[in-house]
Amino acid sequence: MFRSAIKSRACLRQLHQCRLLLKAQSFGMPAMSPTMERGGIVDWKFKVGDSFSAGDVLLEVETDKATIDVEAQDDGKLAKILKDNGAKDIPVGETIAYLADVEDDLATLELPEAETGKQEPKAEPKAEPKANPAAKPEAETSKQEPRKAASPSKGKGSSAVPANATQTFFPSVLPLLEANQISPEEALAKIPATGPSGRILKGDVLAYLGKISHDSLNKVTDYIKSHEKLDLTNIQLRPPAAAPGTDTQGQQKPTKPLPLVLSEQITLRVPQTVSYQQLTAAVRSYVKECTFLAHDGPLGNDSSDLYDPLFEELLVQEPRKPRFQVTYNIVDLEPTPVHHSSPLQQDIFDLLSGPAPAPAPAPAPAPNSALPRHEYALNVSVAVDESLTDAKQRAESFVNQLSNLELFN
Amino acid sequence: MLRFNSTRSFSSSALLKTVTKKHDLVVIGGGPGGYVAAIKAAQLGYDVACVEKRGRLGGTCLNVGCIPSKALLNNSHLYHQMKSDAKQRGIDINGEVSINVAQFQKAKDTVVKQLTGGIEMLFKKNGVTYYKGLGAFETDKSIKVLPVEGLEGSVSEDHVLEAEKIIVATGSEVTPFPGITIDEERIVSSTGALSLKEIPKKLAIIGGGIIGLEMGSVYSRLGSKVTVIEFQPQIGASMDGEVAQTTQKILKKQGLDFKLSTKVLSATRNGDVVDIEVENAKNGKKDTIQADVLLVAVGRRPYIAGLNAEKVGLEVDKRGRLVIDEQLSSKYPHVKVIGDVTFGPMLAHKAEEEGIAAVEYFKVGHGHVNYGNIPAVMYSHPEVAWVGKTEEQLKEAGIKYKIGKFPFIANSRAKTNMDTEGFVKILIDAESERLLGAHIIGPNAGEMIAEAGLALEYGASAEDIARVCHAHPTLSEAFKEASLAAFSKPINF
Repeated sequence: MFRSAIKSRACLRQLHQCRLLLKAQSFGMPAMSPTMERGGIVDWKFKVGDSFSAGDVLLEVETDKATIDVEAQDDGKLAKILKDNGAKDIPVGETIAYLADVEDDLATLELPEAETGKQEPKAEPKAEPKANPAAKPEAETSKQEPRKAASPSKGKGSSAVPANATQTFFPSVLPLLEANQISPEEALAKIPATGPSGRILKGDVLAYLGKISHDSLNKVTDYIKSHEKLDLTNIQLRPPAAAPGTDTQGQQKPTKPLPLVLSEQITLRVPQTVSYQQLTAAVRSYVKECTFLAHDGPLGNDSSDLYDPLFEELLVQEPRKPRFQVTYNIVDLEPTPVHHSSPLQQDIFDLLSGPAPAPAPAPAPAPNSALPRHEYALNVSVAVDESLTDAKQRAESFVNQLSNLELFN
Repeated sequence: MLRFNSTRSFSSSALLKTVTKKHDLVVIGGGPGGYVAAIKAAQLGYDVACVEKRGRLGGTCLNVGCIPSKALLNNSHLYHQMKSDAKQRGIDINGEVSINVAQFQKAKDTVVKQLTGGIEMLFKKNGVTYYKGLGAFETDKSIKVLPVEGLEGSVSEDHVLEAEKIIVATGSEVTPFPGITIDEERIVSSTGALSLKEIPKKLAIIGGGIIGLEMGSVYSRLGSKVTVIEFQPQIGASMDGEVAQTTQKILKKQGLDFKLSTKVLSATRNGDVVDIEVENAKNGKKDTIQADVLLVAVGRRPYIAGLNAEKVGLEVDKRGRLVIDEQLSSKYPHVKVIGDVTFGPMLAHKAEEEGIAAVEYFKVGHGHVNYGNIPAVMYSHPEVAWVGKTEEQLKEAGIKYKIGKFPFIANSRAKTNMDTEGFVKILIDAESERLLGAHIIGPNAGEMIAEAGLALEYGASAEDIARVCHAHPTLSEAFKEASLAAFSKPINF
C-alpha cells in the first residue's frame, strides 16, 4: 500500500516535469570542485539536436587542475550551445547551453534568458525583483558608510568569498542579523563569507557590522585555510644511494649483485723490539675498535638545521646489523729468521691467511724514526652490506680510521 | 600419444609462467586506507583489485593496533572497576574477581577475527578482487603479486596485475629503538604487548605517546607496576600542554610511574628480566630500571620494503615516506599514495579519508581531506581526545584566542556515573569566536570529539555549538557548556 503510494507520487512528479520542460533548461558551467571559480570547455560530446541519456558524458570541462568529464543527470536533448569548444574562463553558473526534454521540438522551444554565473541569481530576485544584481548592492553600500568596509574587494589576501545563496544560516548568525535588522537577502548579497563553501560565519557578520577588524578575521581564516592542507614544502628526498638498498630488499634477491668490497693496504712500521705476536694482538684490537666506532659514530651532515639526532637514530635500518665484514692479514715485508723462530703463528686466523699475495714495494724507512723499525703490510678487505643505506659510508669511515693506524710509537 | 604428451607439457609450462590479469585500479595494501579505497572505487564502478600480504585484511589497525588494544582496554577497565569500584556503587561481589589471561586474550582475538573476516565479506559484496600476496611495482602501470610462503590462501604463482590506476597504501611498521633487539617475548613492540601470555609484575615502557600510555593503562589495571620512560619533558605526543599535564596527573594517581626527560641508554635481556639503563637528560644522572617486560613504543615508520617503489621512479623522502602532491599523486598522476606510508599523521581515520579522496580524484577530479580537522583519541580512562589546534600552536602562530573550559565534576551525567575526572576545553578565535580547537579529557571523550569535528568542518563559532540543543543528562552537555564559557558564561558552573 505504502509502496504503491510512493510509486504514484513518482509518476506524478515525472508528469509534472514533462510539462515544465516545454521551456528549455539553461545548463550552467558546473562547479567541478568546491574551489573552482572558472572553467573552460574542451569538447562537447554531443551536437545540437542530439539526444542523450543520464550518465552520458555531455562535455569535457577543464579547470586549472584537471580536465573532467561532465555527465548528464537526466535524459534529454541538447537544444543550443552558447559556449563552444575552446571557450575559456567561464564563471561557474554561467549558462553554457540549453537542454530540452527528449521529445521536445527544438523549433518551437522557448529558450530562457541566459544567467551570468557567480551572482547568486536564485536568491537575488526575491529581494530585488528587477534583477540587476551587479549594480544595485554596490549603490546601496556606498550610501551606508560603516558598512562599506565590508565589501568583498576590501583587503588583499582576504579569504572571503561571496556568500553561498543556498545556505541555511547558522544559529549564531540568524539572531545577530535580526538584532541588527539585516534581512537574510541583504546578508547573502552583502556579507562576504569566510566559512567553507561560502558560508557566512558569526565572525563575518561581526566584521560586516564593524564590531571586529577585518584584519584579524582574515588572519584567522588564512591560518585555518593554510592548515587544511598537508605541508608539502621542504621535502627532502632520500639520497639515491638508497635505491639499490630497497631493491635488494624486494624481489630481486635471487640475482644478488656482487658485494662491494673495499680493499686497502697499510704499511706498518713497528720497532724491532715488538714481536709479531704483539703486533697481531694490537692490530686485532684496533680493528675491533675501528669497527665499533664506524658503526656507532654519527653519520652525515649533523651540522644541518634539519638534522635531528633523535629522529635519525630512530630511522636507522636494522641498527644491530653489522654494516660490513672485515678480513685482514699481516704480511712481514722484511722476513728475518729471528721473528719466525719465536712461537709466532699460534693464531689460527694468521695461520689460515698464510702467505699473502705479493705486497706492494716497500717504501723507504722513515728517516726520522729513531728506533730500528720493521715493516709489515696490513691487507684489509671490507665487504660492505649494501642492503643498508649507510653501510658504504660507514665502511669508508672505517677504512679511513684504520689508515691512520700508528702502532708502538 | 605424441600429441597428448606435447599438450601436457605445454600446459605445465604455462603453469610456471606468471598469470597476467587486468584491472581498472589496483590497491596495494588492505589496511584501513587500502580497503576503504578499494571498496569505494568498486562502488564508483571500477574493476578493483586489492593486494595484501598479511593474510588478513584490516592492516596494522585491525590486526595489531587500534582494535585489539581497545578490546584489552575495555575489558581491563571493566575488571578494574569491578575490583576497585563495585563496593561504593552498591555492588557486592561474593567470591573473587580475577583475570583469566587466556580468555582475556581470546576475547580480543575473536573480535579481530570477526572484523577482518567482515572486510573480506565486504570485498565480495562490492566485487573487489582480493590477492593474498606480496605486491611490488613492476612498472608504473603493473603490479607483480608474489606468493607468500606459508600463508593460507596465498596466490600460488606470480601474478602480474595491469592497471591504469594504482593506489599505494602499504602503511607503516614499528620503529625499532637503536641498540635494543625486540624479541617480542621480554622486549616487545606494541604487537607483542597485545598478546603477552602472563601479566608482568613490572612493565617498563619506552615512549610516553598514545601507544605507550594505552598499553601502560591496560597492564596497570591488571596489576603490573608500570614505568613510562619518555625523552620529552611531557607525555602524550601532540596533546595540548594543559591536557597532557592533567593526563599525567590522573594516570599517576592510577599507579603509573613517569620518568620524563629521560634517555634510554641501553636495554638488555638477562634471562627473565630486562635491565634498562637510563640517563636523566637534564642532569645526566644515570639509573637502572629492571622490568619483567619492556615495551618499546617510540613510534612507527613508513613501510615500503619489497614494493620496488624507487625502481619505478617513485620518490622517497629522508624519513622513508613516499612523496606526494596535494592531490595525493606520486610522480605519476595515476599512482596515488595514501595513509601512513606518506605525509601527515599516522592515523587509521586519516588513511580512510585519503582512500576515499584518492578514488574521488580519479573518478571526478576532486577529493576532500581537511588535514586541519583530524581528531586524535587516547583510550585510557578517562579518555583523551582532541581535534584542531592546541594552545601552544596558537601561541606560536600569534593567533589571539579565548578558552572555554568546563569540568566534568559539574556535569550531571558524569556525576551520576561517578566518573567525573577531566574537562572540556574549547579554543576559539578571540574576535570572530570561530572554533579553533577542542580538547577533552574525560569519560567518552573519543565519542564527544566528533561534535567538535563537525563544528570545525562547518566553521562554527562557539555560539553555534552553544545554541544547539544537547540532550539532558548527557556528557555532551559539558561540551556545550564549555562553548558557552568560551564566548559568554556557563550556566552550570
